[in-house]
Amino acid sequence: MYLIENAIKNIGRNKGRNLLLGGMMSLILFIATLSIMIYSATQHQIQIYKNQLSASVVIYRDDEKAMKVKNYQEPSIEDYKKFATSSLLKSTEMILTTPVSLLQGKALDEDSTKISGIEREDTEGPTVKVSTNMIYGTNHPFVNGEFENGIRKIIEGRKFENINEVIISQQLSKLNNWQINDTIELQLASIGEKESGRLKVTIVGIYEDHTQAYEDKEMQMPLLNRGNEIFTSLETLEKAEGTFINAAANFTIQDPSKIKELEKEMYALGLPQYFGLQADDSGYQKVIAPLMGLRDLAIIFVVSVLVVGGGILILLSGLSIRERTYEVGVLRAIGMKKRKLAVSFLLEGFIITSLSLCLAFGTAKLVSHPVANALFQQQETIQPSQNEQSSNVTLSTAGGFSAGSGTQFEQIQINITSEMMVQIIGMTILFGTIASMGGIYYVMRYEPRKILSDRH
Amino acid sequence: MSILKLEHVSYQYEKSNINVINDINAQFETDKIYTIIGKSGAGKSTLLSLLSGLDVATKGEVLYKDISLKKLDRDDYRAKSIGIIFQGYNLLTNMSAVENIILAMNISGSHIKDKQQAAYHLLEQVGISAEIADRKVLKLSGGEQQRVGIARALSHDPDIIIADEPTGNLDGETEKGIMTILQKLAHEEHKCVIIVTHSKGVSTYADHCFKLMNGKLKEMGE
Repeated sequence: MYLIENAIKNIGRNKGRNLLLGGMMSLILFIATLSIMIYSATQHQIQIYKNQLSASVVIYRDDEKAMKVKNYQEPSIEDYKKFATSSLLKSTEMILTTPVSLLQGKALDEDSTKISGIEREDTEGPTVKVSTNMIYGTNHPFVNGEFENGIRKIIEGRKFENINEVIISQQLSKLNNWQINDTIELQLASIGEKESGRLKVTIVGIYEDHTQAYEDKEMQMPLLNRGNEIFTSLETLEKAEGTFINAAANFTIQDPSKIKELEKEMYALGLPQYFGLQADDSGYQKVIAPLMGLRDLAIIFVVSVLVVGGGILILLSGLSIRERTYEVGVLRAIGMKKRKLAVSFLLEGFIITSLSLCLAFGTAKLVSHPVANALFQQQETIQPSQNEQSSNVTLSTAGGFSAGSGTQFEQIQINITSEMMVQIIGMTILFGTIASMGGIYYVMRYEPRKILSDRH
Repeated sequence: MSILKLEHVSYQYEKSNINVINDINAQFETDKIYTIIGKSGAGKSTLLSLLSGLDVATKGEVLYKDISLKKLDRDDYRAKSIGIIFQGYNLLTNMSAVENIILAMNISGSHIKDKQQAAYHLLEQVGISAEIADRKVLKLSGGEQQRVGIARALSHDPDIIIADEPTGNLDGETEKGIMTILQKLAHEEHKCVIIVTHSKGVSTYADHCFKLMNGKLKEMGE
């Protein structure tokens, strides 16, 4: 169709003007596209965590009540198995943890710190290496929430299926040149005269880790370095012998409003009264608040860019069209219909917008990760710290097992989704229309005789 | 045969009570060349606007083949039925001569397959070579631009050619060349050619000459 051909040729005929218009549009679309990418990524992440966190329930210790009790006891794994039978629960994730030391190889940061975790003083007994790693035994189908959300990912081998199978981090594997099917020996931490148990385990998987090495940057030691975390099945640690094996559980309730009912049921099943149940607000705050902050920032950017950018485009478009008044007059005088002239301007606007979008989209895709993560880091420092939350101690362990697991991830993943593309294309159409509005207004308003007589 | 008629045509500008054109009656036929002369401000351009459908008469009817322009699509009328030659050429300056012609063909909905070839041929007929045809319009002389204007007006083979001061900006020699083309269009191509001019010299080429004065149109020699 000649209108399309003419529109393309006209863009080339008016290079200076169109370069200016295209340049402005590219800048506006770049900021808007980048904002939409960040918004979509954070919104997606928020949805995942909201679904995960909204029904998460943890057992907390009431320190005031616990201090008054003579025989304080924490729930055992057998107790958690009893609690898991409640019909109010959707799922229960049970965890056993203990510090271990490596009988072969080294842990990350082992040589760079002076404080090295739990030490055993024994002048007569055998020399024992200090604990440098945490091992987690779990029945979680994906290992833990971080693996489920993609912050950690098994990149080689598989998840443990049988007893005495483990997965380790990529960093730990590289440090020690450990491969799949290698066997390593772990010494469980113990105290007093009792000799600590050992575990001979086989590496069946290696995971990629995007979490931050230390959740608390003030305390850096191998035992707290998340790259030193080893994961295995619940059964492996149930059979192990160690003084420091701790049991914990994360519950997902079917109906969050029934948390008190669940608490009553657990008391009846043997949960001591100095423990209670609470929704995992700290996890929520830790994870979602910075993401929501970033999401809101992205929305502000998009709206501001659309409003300000739209205003600038209308102005530029109007100025650009004034130069083409004569052209409009001539085309109308020789019989071109208003409608076709309007379509011609629209086509030119869309072609320029589309070219600008290609440039803007490509650039936004390139810089989206570093920009998003820089803004996210900023949001994390703004949001309230965990210390400001409840002082009650929860019995959910770290290592990605707390309901708020995955908060210390290093990168926001920006994936191009169909929903994002629809938003970006919709915005492009809007801008293309705005860019053409000046011309269309002129075409509709003025008769050719007036245009040509004004010129003469 | 009358192809264009004016029946009791009057025209007032907006916010004015004065008739610039006042109750004009006239008929224009094919195979003839007409000139309408008058002083500056007499209303010649206004009359031309009414004839070409760029404007609408306040009273009366302009009839094309006995159909009122008020009932016709005036855009189609200008695109297909008439060709307008402007005093100031009114070519699209960011295009070449041949591109101006091709665009006019497209606007008129021409079904010619090889429009470029047809455009070159048309330009050649008005004395514009292929080399000049490929130049941007601003690089052409006044005479060349006016020839391109004529070619554009002919691009859809209209029945009527309406020319507004077609030689107003041109020298005597060029004027002669342009008028020869217009005469040929009337007498050999069987078109109705209406020329609005203030030049009595141009009138010598006409078969009929009208004078526009005080809003009235009178044939000279009556």
